[in-house]
Amino acid sequence: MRRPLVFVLALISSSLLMLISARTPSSQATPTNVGSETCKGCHEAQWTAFQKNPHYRAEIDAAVIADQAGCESCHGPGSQHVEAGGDKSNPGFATIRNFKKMPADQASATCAGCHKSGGQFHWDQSAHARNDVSCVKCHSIHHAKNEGAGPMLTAEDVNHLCITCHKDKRTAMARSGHMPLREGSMNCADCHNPHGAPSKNMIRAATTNDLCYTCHADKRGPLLWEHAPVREDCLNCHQPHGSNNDKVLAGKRPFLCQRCHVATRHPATLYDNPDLVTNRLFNRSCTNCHSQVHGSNHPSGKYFLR
Amino acid sequence: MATLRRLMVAALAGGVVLSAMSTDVVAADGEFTIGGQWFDQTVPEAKFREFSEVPRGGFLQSFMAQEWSGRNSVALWGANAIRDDQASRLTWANGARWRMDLGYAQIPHTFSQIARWGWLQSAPGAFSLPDSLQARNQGIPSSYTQRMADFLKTSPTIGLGFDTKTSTARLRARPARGWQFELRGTHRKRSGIKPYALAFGFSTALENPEPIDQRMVDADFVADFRRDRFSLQASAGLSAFQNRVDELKVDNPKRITDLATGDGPAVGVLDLYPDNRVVRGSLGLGYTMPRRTALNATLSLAQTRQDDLFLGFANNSALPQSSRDSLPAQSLDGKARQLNGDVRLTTRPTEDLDGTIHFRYSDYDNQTPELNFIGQSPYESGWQRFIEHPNHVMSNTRWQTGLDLGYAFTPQIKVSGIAEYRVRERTHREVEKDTETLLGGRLRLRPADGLSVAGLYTRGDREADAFHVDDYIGLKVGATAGLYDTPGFVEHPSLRRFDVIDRVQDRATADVSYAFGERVELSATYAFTRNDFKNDTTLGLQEDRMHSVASSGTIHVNERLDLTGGYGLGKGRTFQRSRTSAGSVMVFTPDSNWTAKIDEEEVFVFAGFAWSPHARFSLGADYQFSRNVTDYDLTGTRTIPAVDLPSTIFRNHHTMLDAQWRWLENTSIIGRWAWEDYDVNDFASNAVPLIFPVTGTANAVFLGDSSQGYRAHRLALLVKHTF
Repeated sequence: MRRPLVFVLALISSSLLMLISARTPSSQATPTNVGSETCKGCHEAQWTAFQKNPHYRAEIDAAVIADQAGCESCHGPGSQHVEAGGDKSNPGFATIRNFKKMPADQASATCAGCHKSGGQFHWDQSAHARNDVSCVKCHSIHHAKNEGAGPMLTAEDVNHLCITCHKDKRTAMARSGHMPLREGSMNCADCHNPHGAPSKNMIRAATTNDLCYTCHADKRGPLLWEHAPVREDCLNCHQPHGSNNDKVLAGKRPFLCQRCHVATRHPATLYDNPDLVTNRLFNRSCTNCHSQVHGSNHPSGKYFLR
Repeated sequence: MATLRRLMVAALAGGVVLSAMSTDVVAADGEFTIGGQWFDQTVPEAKFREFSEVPRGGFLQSFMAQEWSGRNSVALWGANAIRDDQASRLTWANGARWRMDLGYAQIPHTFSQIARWGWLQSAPGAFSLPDSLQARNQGIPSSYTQRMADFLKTSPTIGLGFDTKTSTARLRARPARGWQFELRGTHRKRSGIKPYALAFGFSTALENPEPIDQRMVDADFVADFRRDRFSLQASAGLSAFQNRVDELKVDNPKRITDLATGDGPAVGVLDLYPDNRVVRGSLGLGYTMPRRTALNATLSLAQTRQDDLFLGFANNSALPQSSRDSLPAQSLDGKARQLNGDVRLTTRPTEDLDGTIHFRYSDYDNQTPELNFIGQSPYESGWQRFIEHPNHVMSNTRWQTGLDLGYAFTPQIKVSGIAEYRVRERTHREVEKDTETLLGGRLRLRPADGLSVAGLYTRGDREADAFHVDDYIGLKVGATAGLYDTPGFVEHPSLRRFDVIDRVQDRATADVSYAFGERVELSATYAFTRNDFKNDTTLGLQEDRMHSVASSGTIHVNERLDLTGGYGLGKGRTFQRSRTSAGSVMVFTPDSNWTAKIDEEEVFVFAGFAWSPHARFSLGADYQFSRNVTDYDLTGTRTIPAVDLPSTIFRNHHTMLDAQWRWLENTSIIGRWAWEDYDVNDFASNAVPLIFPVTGTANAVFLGDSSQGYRAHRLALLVKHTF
């Protein structure tokens, strides 16, 4: 199974590389710049609002944008658009770059002219870029809806923006066991980098566990007595987007623990209705005694009791 | 409060400085919303306050102020000021060259307002009982339950919960084209109390309020360089965790003197999480090629250390091995190295064709020394001697490679294929290596303007390389009392753990979205996941699956009226099989098998409108409902039938109505009413008593933090002013 798959991957890779080595087509003749004062003539509202925008202050810094083309540094040279005089049937009218109508990768490439560092370093490889989610799907320079000095979003905040597409996460956030996303104290971008990351699900750390240790550093270890599924992956037991069990657990105790522990005596005992008076079912169940479930550094902590 | 004052002063100072530097103040604006609120709730406990401080009286809901002067700008933003759940941020920028962000946030996490605790805290983490109580419980154990019940019911109420205060700072510089430097730091201070157990003997669970006083510091420096097609990113950082309460030391309610067996010591000691620190670095390279092709490679390395001193085997003078002297080392000298790598090639050589090839590697190399322990005392009662008993130093490695290739037959139809191969390896587990092959496809259709349909399906087939049943063998007590020297199964040999064993996973999603001009947007998502571990003879998780549907819609009826709404439904099932061995002898026939089929159903509904019947008046309402029901269908052994557990039910209604009147040009008055109804029916957490069970012989002392249903109302009057 493995060899044929590797062969197929190699064949496809070489085909792609052959396509890559072909020359790019030459660009066609383009219109020329007219200056932002000309744009202001018809788009005064956008121009006025733009002056509050950090991009305006970047525009007036020649070290950052050498040609200081103003509006045209994003929207492209506007001479033919201006000459069309508002006539949409004139082919020159559409020569201006309209981000709502551009293909996603072209819209994003405009922004990437400046924004390709820091958190955007991995944008080209991100799931959003590959699925044609462009920068302007989430950000708006002229019509931002979020308040405060935030990243100019097309929704009132990060969580509302993400659940526009990731609707199942809205339901998850409403569950009884949850992190404080719906209260506004956390947002999706605290754990995920929407601009891409070299990790699974674009999380802001190399591994899931490393991400969790950012806030839950007490679990980082290493510890004397490790609990194997904990060290491998926190998601073996937890559902971070929300769960109907406390501590965002993936299942109710003791059944969660009994998925992996079938020993003699109480670990594998079936606790049913008459056992509501046992401390192995009631309240915190197994962790009524085995509180050190993430591992223990105590010499007698092998069973996570100390 | 002090933090807010400092931020405001900083902002004002910044504004004064900027104004003095330039005569070119272009603009300044801002807003604030202040008001007063009254709320009530029908019970002392309320889940809507779990992560929020709901104000009663005057409060500052939000503020924002920003000023621009030439290339400089300063912005100050805050929410829930001076409350437990406050957040604020100060940003200064000089064009695109310099940017500084300072932030502060507090996140409360309230577990309970109704817990009770009768022990006295003499030092952080040290809880004591009156000697007379311990002595009477030891001398007259038959009346322990009644005596403790009487003692606990008069004990004071404690608020269980903690908060995390997070301060962040970031400085970003772009000194020249292609260069960017970023220095950022975070300090988290977590303090409060949370429930934590320390058990005495086999049937005395004791829940304590663990004091939390922890500090976490993270600092990173990131440098980026770009020129033409080439980009480079390098970073270095460190993190440190400090726990200022190292141990939980609790008086045993049943003992005043140490006993070598049974109820054990007079004082039990539990080791709380040790301090740790990490140093890390990473390097990323990117190269852009023609045909919209990019190659990106990242390598990161981190080293973790943990070296807290061990406690002794037991805090029990009656045991032969109580002191630290008999340990194989004074501390763990724990070390772990984490190495990660990622290489991706993304290309779009033509408008119709795109693809990504990736390889990802992650290695957690636990370099902690293996220590041989001569025994242990799990409850600090009784001594279990071993011939040889090392700790397991657990490491793991995983890598995967994959291809995602898409082709658009027409602008309306695009098909993609996905293939991945994954390998995971680990030490000290019954399965040390497993491999998974994942294949799938994606379809995207745009049949008409504004209409898009997408579907994704993947199937992952994971196989364990080999199953080492000897990993289920441990040392049991042999012929000599207290000496654990006889190998025997500590887990049933038929158990197959879901995280490592053979598994087929099917995942599917479907999305439909429709936008009718700019007036109507409708969308729906369906998601399905099924993990099949089935095997007729094995024990453990057999299957788990989840279906969910989520939909939402927005209708811009006209310039004055917007409607929104949505619905979500989810159904999940887990099925697991186990086997009871009532005594110390493991049962190898299926006669004592039992199963648990756990079904979850959740519903989520939301609806709202925003209406402006008049230029100066607007009305908004928002309603949300969520309900989850979990049923437990249990089957007992062949001879003993099981009685199903009561279903757990969570149900929440929440509605909010806002009326806003623009009184002056820049000032609006807002009236707000909110109502919430929360029901919880959970056999494990409703009516948690202080001594448990309430009749018969007590086997636990709890904090009594029951989950409660409630109804709550809020009325607020706010003023919003913009300037």
